[in-house]
Order: sequence, then C-alpha cells, then structure tokens
Amino acid sequence: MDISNEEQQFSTLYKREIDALFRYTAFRVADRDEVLDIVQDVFSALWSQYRIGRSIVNPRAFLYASARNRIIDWYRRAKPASLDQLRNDGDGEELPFEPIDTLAEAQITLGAEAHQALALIEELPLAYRQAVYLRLVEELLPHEIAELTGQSANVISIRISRGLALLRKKLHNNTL
Amino acid sequence: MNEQFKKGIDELRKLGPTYAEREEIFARITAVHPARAPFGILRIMHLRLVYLSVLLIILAGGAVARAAEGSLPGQLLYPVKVRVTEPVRDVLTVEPAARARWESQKLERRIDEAIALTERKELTQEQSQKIEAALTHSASTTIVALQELTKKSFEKDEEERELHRELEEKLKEHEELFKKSSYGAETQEKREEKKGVQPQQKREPEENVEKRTRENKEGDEKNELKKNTERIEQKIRTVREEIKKESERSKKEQKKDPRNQERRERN
Repeated sequence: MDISNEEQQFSTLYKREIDALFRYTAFRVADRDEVLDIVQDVFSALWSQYRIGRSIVNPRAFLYASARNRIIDWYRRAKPASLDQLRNDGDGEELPFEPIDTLAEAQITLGAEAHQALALIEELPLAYRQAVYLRLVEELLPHEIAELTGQSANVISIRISRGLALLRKKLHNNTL
Repeated sequence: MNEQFKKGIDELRKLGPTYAEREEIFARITAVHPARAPFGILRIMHLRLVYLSVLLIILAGGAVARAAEGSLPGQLLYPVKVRVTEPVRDVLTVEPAARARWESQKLERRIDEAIALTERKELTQEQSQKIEAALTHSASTTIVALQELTKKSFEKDEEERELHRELEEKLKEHEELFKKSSYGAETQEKREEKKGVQPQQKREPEENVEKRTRENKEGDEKNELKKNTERIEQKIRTVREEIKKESERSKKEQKKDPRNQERRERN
C-alpha cells in the first residue's frame, strides 16, 4: 500500500524537470507527439534505474544526455540534411536550435511577446544561442549548463556574457 | 533588458506539456515493471526491514512471510508484505500470464485493504489519499499487464480466457462484499429514514437512549469518516470499471486475431 521511496524521489524529480526537458526537446524536434514520446522514453529510462535501486549521481545530466541521443536519432530519420549542415558550420554544437521554425512546424503556438523574445535569441550566433536560452529561460547556472551540454563551464560563461551583450544591443536598437 | 522581452521570457517558461499529458506519462512510466535485476532486490527494500525480516525468518521460518500475506494496514507485518514479499514477487514474475494474474491479485489485495480501512472508526484524509493512490497505481499495473498479455500470448488463449473469467468473477465477489460492508449497510439505513420508518418502534430501554446520545456526539466525526470513505469507494468503483473495460477490450482483440480464427476453424 505504501508508495515506495524510489517513487517519491522520482516523482519529485519528474515534476521539477519535465517542463524544461519538454521545452529543450520541443525547440529541436518539429513534431509534438514525437516530443512527448521522447520525454516519456527519457524519464522511463531514468525510472528503470531507480526501480532497481541504482542511485544516479546527476539525474538531470542523464535526462538531457538521453534526450540529446533521441533527438539526434530523430534528425537522422527526419532531417539528415540539418545534421550535415551542423557538421560544417556548427562550432562544435551537436544539435540544431532553431526554435521558431521548429515550433511552427510542430504547430505549437506562442504568445506575441514570447515569440519576439525567442526570435531575438534565435538571431544570435548558434554557439551562443543555447547557453543564453538556458540561462535566461531555464535559469540554470553556467556550471549546470556545462554539465548538460558537455562543454566546459568557462566556455559557457563566455558564451553567455557575449550572447547577453549582443542581446542588449539588439534590444537597445529596437527601442530606438 | 526591456519589459516586453522580460515578459516574453516569462511566457516561454510556461511552455510545456498539458497537465493531463504530464499525469498520463507519469502513470505509464511507473506502471512498467523493470527488467529482471536479481541483485537489485535488496536495494528495493529498506535495509532496516531487510534485517528485521531476515531475523524473523531465521527465528520463525517461512511462517512470517506466510503470515504477512494476509496482513492489513496498521498490523505489524503489513510493512513486510508491502515492502518485502510483494516486491520480491514483482521481480520474479515475468511471464505475461503469470504477471497479469499476480497484478490482479495485488489489486484485489489493495481493494480488500481499502475496504478494511473504511470499516475503521477513524480514517484521516492523508490515509484515504494514500489508499486512492495505491489503488490507482495497482489498477495501472494491472491494465498494463493485461495489455502485455494480449500482445504476447496469442498462443495461450485458453489460459487467457480462464484469466479473464476469473477476474470477472472476482469483481462480482467484490460487488457482493460491498453490499454487505458498512457502506452497503448505511445506504440501507438511509433508505429507511427516507420512508420515515423508525428502526425501533417499541419503547427503548435506558441503555439504548444513552447509546443514542453518545452516537449524536460522534456524528461530526462520522461525517469526516463518511467523506473519506465515500472517496475510497468511488475509487474502487472506478478501478473496477477500468479493469472490466480492459478485460473486455483484450477479449475482443483476441477474437479479432486471424491466427485465433484459424485455430477455431481447425478445432
């Protein structure tokens, strides 16, 4: 009759991370059903670990790494050209991040201000885009972003500050 | 950064799955049983309970595990049942028909425990919520197991039909139990009150009068109890309906399967 400890822990983690993980995936996979499938698979994999009593040191990193793999698989199936393009001018980024087009294709609508904010972020160079997004919207710290993306915290910090500087300039120009 | 941009960022943060999607995904994930992990068993159980039960088993032999099987919430051996013997069987029962049978056994146990709890004098909201959650969980795992059965054992249709038949009988049994339980008795009382029939027509001896005054004072507590009880009973009804639906659906799937038709023609 008792809900086990494992389920409690998992439930807490699930509630904390699911929205951000959904967004991470939805900005890259242009198919809402597929996004939900990926999210379910990823949490399911984590749950399997919990159920057999294996404690995971960094569950968030596990979730995002699993999501990245599945997103790459989706690109291989649905949009192999995008992956090729990345290899040529991606600056070490392994996944595309073109949220405006992706959301439009998946028929996910955003409010006007959200759309504008996202469009501005998308105008940034690819290398800065993800770091700035994770900092501003998901409010992660540089070392947390570093864990998720597999890059060093220093690189992330630099990208964030340069990206934010660019954003400020754009916003300043826009209001003129 | 300007105001509009900030607003936009805040709005972005609201993007996510719907509440229903979140709940559904969670239920699906936690209903699935894990791949066999024999050395993981010990980690599933709480270490304290492991030591306690190992000690008890050494002292009392298999009788402890057997005694735990029938225990109810609040009894000494109940935690052993829920955290030791049931998880062990969870890990060991993998074959689809056996699994479906085990899951429906567990569901029966949850229902019995829920009924037993509703017949207690006190039932806090926390307890009633826990029971509801356990019933939901058990119903999900049972449905998943039935679905697995439909998928995997087209060859074993005899066994399945037997299983479906058993399940339906058990559901009917619970129906009977319900009518006899306190809830069933209460609704009988309510009906009598409505008709204006007094339970006792003759003059009551003093002890009965005292009893009735005591009962009036306990009225408020009873309302609380009744509320929590009714929620559980509603849950049980919903769970039974879900299981019935699933049972019927998998029977239909069976009939549709062309392999089964062949077999029937051959016979």
